[in-house]
Amino acid sequence: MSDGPRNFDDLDLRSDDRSRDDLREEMEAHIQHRIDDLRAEGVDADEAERRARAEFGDVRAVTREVDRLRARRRRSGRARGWLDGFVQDLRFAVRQFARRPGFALGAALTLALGIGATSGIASVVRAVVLEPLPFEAPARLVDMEMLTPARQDFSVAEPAYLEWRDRLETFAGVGAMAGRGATLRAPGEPTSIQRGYVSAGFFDLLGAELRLGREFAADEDEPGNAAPVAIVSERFWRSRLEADRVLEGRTVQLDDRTLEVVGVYPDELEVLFGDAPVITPLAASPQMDRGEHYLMVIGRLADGVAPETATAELERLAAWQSETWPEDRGWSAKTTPLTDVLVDASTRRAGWVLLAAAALLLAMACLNVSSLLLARGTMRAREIGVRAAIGADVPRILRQLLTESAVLAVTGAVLGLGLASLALPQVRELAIGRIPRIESAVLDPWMAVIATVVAVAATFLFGVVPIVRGRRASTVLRDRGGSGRRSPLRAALVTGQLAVSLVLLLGTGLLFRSFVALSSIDPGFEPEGTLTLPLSMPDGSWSWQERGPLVASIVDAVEAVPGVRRAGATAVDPFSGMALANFVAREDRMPDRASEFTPIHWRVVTPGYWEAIGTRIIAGRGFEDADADDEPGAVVIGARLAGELFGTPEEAVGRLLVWGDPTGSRLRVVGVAEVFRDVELAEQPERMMYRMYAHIPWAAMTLVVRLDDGAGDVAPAIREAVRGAAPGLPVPELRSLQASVDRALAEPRFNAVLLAAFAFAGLALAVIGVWGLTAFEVRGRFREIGIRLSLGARPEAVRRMIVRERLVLTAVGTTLGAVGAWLLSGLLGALLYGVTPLDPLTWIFGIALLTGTATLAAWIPARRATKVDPREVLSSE
Amino acid sequence: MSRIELLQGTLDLLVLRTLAAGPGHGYQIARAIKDSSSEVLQVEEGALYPALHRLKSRGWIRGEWGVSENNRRAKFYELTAQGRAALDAERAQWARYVDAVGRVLEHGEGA
Repeated sequence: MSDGPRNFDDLDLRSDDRSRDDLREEMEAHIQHRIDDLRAEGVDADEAERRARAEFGDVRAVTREVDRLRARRRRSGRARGWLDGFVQDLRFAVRQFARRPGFALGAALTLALGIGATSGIASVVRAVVLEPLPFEAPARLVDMEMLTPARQDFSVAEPAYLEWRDRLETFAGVGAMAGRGATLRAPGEPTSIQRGYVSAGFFDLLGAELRLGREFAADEDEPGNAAPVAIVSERFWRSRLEADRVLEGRTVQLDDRTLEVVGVYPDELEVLFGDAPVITPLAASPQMDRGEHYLMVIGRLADGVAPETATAELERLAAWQSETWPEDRGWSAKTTPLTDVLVDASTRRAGWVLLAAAALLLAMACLNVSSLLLARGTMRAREIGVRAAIGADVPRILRQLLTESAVLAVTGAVLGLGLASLALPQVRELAIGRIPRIESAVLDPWMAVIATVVAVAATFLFGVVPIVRGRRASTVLRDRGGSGRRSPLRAALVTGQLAVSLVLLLGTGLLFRSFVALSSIDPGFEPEGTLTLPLSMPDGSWSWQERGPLVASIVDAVEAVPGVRRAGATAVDPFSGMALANFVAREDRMPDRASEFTPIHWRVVTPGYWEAIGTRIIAGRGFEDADADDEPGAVVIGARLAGELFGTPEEAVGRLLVWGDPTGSRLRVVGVAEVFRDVELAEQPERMMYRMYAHIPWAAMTLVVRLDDGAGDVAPAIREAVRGAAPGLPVPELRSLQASVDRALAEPRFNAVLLAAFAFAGLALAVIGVWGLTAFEVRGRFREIGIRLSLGARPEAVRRMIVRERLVLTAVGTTLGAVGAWLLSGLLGALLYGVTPLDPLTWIFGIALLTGTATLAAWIPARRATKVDPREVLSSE
Repeated sequence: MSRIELLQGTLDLLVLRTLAAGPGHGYQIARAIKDSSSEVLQVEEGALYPALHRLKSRGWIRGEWGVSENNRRAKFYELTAQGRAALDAERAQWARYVDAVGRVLEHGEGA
């Protein structure tokens, strides 16, 4: 083709302006040369100039002519080398879009939403759900739990764990871990932390490497005698130990013990340890109470052993324990794959739902853009047919179309991936500590590539191929373009678009309703103006007998601070994730077996607790100091438990309960407290029972302090009062209860916000897509409408016909969508709060919105077409 | 002797022929055609520059700025190898055309 190097000039890459200047200068040179010749013949300067210019004629006309040539050549699109042609195509595409910026912007943004949401969500889901756990052969690891007589999952007591560890043969190893609140005194400011415990060899059991140092040796984990050593988290190591690679000589002070730091566990193990900055040896002992269940036990199956075999052996051992030890009577055991425990079913399900929603959104975006391209393409099909007829080569046209959809797709992809990479850190920030492993979620290049390729391929396939199929001039020229009825592909696209839209719309509606319900949950207390202060008495610092008076004096001292209205203490820090569980029964209707007792949540509180946290006693009364010595012991129960056991709160007052099992102690109900949520807001409130601090003086209590309105910053004075009342007790920072409530709402809100956000994007896409395509198709039939009208059809009849035809398509699409949504509704159920997946209101709204949009989008252009003079409509093509 | 205005296509051929003798700028090309046709053929400037553009875009000639014999800046054109081949082809075409037209005219006279 080309011979040797070409001039830059020849490539026609320069702007039209520069080419024009060039030409003008060239022509001026021509005139000057003519003047030179005339002067040489003796003509005087002015006359020479005049004649030369007159001979040349109109310079601007020549410029225009060359411009026309250049434009024609560009349009005729005869390729001169690949790059050349590509640049031409690109400029042509950009010009095409610049002429209709609404279309281009809409299409690019639509693709951006689809690509961005899909790749972002897919990246999160991959990190949270699909990525294997950071352990060796994680499938061989199981969580080993005990089952209560009522067959509820329960944690394991130390002696039971030791028997499992020592006797089970189908397990290559068994280890245990636990967590408990503690006060970190140094380095840095004293803070309340979650302290972890692990057995010796725990990391080896998992097959997980430490970031630095070593794990605990067997002689540091001797029963009841933990060595003063600690493993810290990588986060803690970076923030408090300056990421010093030399651990020697580094210590932490936990409660009253100074521990030597021997290792650092890597960030990715937070999936197991949560945010425990310090881990110490568990030192489990066979002497411990068999009734104190608090361990998480993890076992690794021995090589070649099937999970069922190992579980069977564990069950046999548990049966033996049940027969041998009175505390274990009626209990059994079970195993669960560790993966299922760490990435729980609801998170997993949320992940899949999100992914499905993202895929729907992408499908939706592709459908919208394809149908738009297709609809537009029908108009252009004529142009292309003419071009093909006069000999333009078809591959060339194809390439031009490909370039156009590629420009759209690349713009969409760049915008979308930009969106995703901007949004991901926000998502991580929102969810850290709430959703396991979210911290490792980064925009996954593979997911981005897949989403982009799918979008480009779909856009090209649906938007371009049909046009090219009609490239034979004869077919295209015969089809006047625009009529949707003749194209089954377009009918299928419209139907598919409606179906996908409905699925997304219903999802949106349901999630939005969940979100509203979640935001308006009444926790049953007044979190505003309330501060909490977790206090934990270091081991051995105050005896059982000393604790009652100590806590009472702390409460008194705090209540004496100006601005404090009421103070109380509870064993369960609100929304800390901690819970105490047991079983009770009515004394007069006591079942024979413990397994038929009612499961409850319980906590130990001081008399001022209810008033401090802002809840009410709705029957009877709260605790009084005088209750301490009463027999049977006084308890307050929650309204739900009162209702289930006795019918009404009033009925419950004065009645007797049995604690734990048929042999348990008797308790007298003195009052019933309002329904109350302080464990998880989204769940049904627990059956609650309150016991007196005087009866069970817990070592770790949380002080709840209600302030007077406008009390100002009294936190320093409160801390001072606590220090004064209990010298030597670590006093961390006070927290606002409102902040804890907000934190507790974070995860359900996170799910709802994320889903609702791009479900709203789906809603917008659905309405815009259905509207755009329908309106476009109806407009394409103006000619037909004109013919009908000029043949005497009544305008209303024509309008009705058009709308009816669209309604048939809409009905088919909506039905398909409804079936799809119904099939998927089970999946969504677990993510909903306060609304069922088949919520009638949402369904009616979704279907009505979609049908309404489609009808209106058909009716408005139809009305316009039938209002004007048929001759005008006919000539408008 | 009357001057004949050139048909499009013919001008292309003449420009190619002129440039086959050596590079030249627009004015020189116009002069050369006029001179070598004994001033019978008048090149319309309004047609010359579009023709140059057309030939350039076909890759038959290429242009470059230089300095003319009058010490003026001017764009000099020269034939490419492709242009040389095109000239041969056009020439043959032209000969056939002239031949055919001539025969028709003679035949017409004879009838």
